Amino acid sequence: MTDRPAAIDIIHVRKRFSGRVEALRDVALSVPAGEIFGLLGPNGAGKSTLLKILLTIIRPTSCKGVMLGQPIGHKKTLQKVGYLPEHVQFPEYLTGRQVIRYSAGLSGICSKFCKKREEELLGLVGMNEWANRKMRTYSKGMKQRIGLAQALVNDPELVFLDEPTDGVDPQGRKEMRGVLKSLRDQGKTIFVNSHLLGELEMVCDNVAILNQGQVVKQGSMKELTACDSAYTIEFVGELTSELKASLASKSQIKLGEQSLRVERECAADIQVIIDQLRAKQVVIEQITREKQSLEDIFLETVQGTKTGGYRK
Amino acid sequence: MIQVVTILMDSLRMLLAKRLFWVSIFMSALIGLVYLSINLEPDGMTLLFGMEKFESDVICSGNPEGEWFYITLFTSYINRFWIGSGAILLALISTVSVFPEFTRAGTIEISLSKPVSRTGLFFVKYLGCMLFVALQSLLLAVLVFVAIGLRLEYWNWSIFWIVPVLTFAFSLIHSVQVLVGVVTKSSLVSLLVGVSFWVMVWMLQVSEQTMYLNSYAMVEEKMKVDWKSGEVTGLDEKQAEDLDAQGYYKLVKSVSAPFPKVRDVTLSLDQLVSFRDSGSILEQIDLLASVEKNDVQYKSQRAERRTRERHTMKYIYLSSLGFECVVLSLACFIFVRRDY
Repeated sequence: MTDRPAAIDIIHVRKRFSGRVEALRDVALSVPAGEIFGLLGPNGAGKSTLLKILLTIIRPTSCKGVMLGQPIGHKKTLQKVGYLPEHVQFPEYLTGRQVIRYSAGLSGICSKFCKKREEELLGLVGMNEWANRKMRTYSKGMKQRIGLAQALVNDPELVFLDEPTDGVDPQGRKEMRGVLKSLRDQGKTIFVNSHLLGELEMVCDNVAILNQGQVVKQGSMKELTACDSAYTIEFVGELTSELKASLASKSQIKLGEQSLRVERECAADIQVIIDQLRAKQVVIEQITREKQSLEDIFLETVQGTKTGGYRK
Repeated sequence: MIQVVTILMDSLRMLLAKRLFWVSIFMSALIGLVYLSINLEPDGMTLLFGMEKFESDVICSGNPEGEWFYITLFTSYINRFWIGSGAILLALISTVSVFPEFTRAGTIEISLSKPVSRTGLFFVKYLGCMLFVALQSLLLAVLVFVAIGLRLEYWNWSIFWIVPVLTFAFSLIHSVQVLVGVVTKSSLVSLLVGVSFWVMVWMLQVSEQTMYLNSYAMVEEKMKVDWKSGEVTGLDEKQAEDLDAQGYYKLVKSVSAPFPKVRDVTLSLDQLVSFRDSGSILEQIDLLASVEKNDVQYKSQRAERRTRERHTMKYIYLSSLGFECVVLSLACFIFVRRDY
């Protein structure tokens, strides 16, 4: 985690639905301001429930903490928040432009500012040409683009995106990533819920993994992916038995035919091994750094657990 | 304020997008125009702006019966059939989906995540539905107002009571639809329950009215209905004292008391919309009956008038409003407390 102030800082978040399903169990989360935060988790882990609690759509059983410096549930704070829900359904009688205006109006934005802003946003999401068509004529991807535009219409400090790339084509996804990065560069905080781990990995600064209503892992992308990194050194020729014995004595080194794998070491530590090999005239052909992907971390974390909420 | 205007604008857009809204507007306009197209002339009346002519010595201009006929067309047909049932039914069908669609997953989240209170959101959305009936009834009121102004040559502003009365009558049933819509999120269930409820309160009111007529009004006039032959016969003092159907009436009245008086509300237009005295002999019959005559026919009319006037306007409106407030409060409570 970074030392930036937290846009969201919550503890003891619990939500129990009827039927004894505990969607969230004592969740604690800190989202640094000005960064892209990803919340991962299998289906039914409680990701959307957590997000809806922050946005006052669901009432928590208990929740302590702040969002943008105000207690959770403070309605006025939502003026500085944007939201794109999962499986968003806009009224079909509205045009894309009217959806953006509706969202702006509910945020209390005057029409003068809104008109200027809607043109910018329609351009940003590439929907200028389609802005005056009814929502019923839109594809799923186009609805998501309009959804993103309406989430940004109030120039929010904090944006919640629930599965933002759902139904969006690869080109659209790339554009979406660009939009998220540019929002971050403007100092905004982005909170993304997604199943698409590859997408998140490309943009997120911090992630948390939620499983069965609990945060099981949380940290910066660098910290999480670096802790399980490894180096593979491929060489040509044979190692001397003396060198083999020396390398084999170190537990983090695994010897192969024409390679050796060094686990959980940083770049500085690897230099000693390179020096050892070079001292014996071993020809190093290639050194590669293997980082654990977000998917690996995710699967490792949730492996063996059931999907869905925790049932008492 | 911006939020309120936004929600109302959205309601208006939703209405304009509904085909039934235009059907209702068309029907109101058609009824109003047909009424406007009737003209009284010295030798009879014309229909469809002079396309059809009916010669008559009674229904014609300059004759009090002509004016009586023109007003009766409004009070007995337009008021009873269109305002009292057709317009309300179309409005109920058109607006039934507002709350179920609004509370649908994927739609409600955006509105709830905005800095607007849920209570405010609920009531402004409800007001938006009222727009539907208000616009439709305003169009009808304007056409009837113009028709009476042009044909009878006086401008009767009390015609505009149509707008609040029809809107209020609609809102009484719509509040039930909203409650069911918020609970079940189903337009079909809301419509079925709403219309069934309307039929139920209509039957209650008709039963209560009929029982009052037979238990009080007719007994006071020393009359009774022979239920086998359907004839109305006279009673002497002794027979009138022996009749005791008031217990049943009190039971039905207490059952119907908390329910909305939709029928009575629409019929209250007869009192609210006041017409000048046409001077027609047809208008005087009831009055004469109460003064001079004493036979069964006149007594029946007097009993019926007493039955029509059995409830005060205050009772009709306040008890209906009370019901609506309770139902809406419950619907709002559920809407506000629910997780989406």
